[in-house]
Amino acid sequence: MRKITGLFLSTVFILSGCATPGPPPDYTAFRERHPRSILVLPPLNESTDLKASYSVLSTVSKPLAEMGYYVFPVAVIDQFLKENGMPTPGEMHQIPLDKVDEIIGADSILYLVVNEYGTKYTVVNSAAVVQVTARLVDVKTGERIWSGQVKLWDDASGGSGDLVAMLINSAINQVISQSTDQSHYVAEDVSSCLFMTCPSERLLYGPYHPAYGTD
Amino acid sequence: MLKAWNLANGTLLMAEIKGVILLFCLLAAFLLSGCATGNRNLYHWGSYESQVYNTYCEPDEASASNQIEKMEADIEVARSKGLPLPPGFRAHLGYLYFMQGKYDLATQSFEAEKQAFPESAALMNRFITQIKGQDA
Repeated sequence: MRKITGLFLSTVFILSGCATPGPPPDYTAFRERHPRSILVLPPLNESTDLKASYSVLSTVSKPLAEMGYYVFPVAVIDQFLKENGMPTPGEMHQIPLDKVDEIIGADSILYLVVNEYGTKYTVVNSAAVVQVTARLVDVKTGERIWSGQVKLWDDASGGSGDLVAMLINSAINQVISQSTDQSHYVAEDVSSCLFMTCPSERLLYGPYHPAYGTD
Repeated sequence: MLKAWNLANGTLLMAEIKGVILLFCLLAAFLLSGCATGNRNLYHWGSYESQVYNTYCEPDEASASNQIEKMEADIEVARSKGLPLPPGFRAHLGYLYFMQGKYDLATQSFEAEKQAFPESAALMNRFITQIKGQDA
């Protein structure tokens, strides 16, 4: 009998790994308007890294589409808006909703702000930090139907307690982060957490997902 | 094997063995199913998102011809895997063809995007009309 109890306990332990932190968001407005398509505008950038806006922009299509939504081609939209007198994300975020409805035909617009993006250095370590705030607005009514914010960092610590080893590790990590733009990989995790995997934030499934209508 | 083990222990009842086997099966099923639904991707993404990233952050790698080559290869892989292309992929490719002056291929790609995702119809029709204007 003890063996059976042990099995039960191990099952409980595995289940706890999927536990949801915090209450789920209020989906009332989302359910009412339930969009099929999402127009993602290039994010506003509050960080000091010039790459931040477009690095984040290039990470959002996949999680949004895998959640079951039609996502307008982000680079094409950026170019299209630039050619139509909106050269910066700031101006794009001012686009009137009736124009979006008429010209692009999107159901909803995703407004993103990159609050933080880049590598933070301390004496012994460096960490890539990315924070993104998102707001989904229904194009027909102008109503905010969902919002979320996620901050993640990739601590490049080698995990060793030895100070000399940590310093060497830190130097190596800083070289690596500069050459591969470590923040971009963190941005990918931020986007998938924000829209797909983090239970306290994520979107409801969209019409192209097999689980549409079940959540 | 199970019988020998049963005999050696002597105390485990047949019902208990059945229970253990059932639990093992449930546990295995649970582990196989994974925590999150939708672990399998709906689409074959290939290089689409890295093309978007390169367009802005690594422009040397993102010439139209370079991007087209990679995306055409992605289409073949998607076909071999039997997975659909993601939203925006065909429109992005169509835009690249358009930049190269390949108006027929651009129109075909925009039509294909519209076919796969009717949500894109208003924008794709606009692009197609624009091409007709340039072509004339």
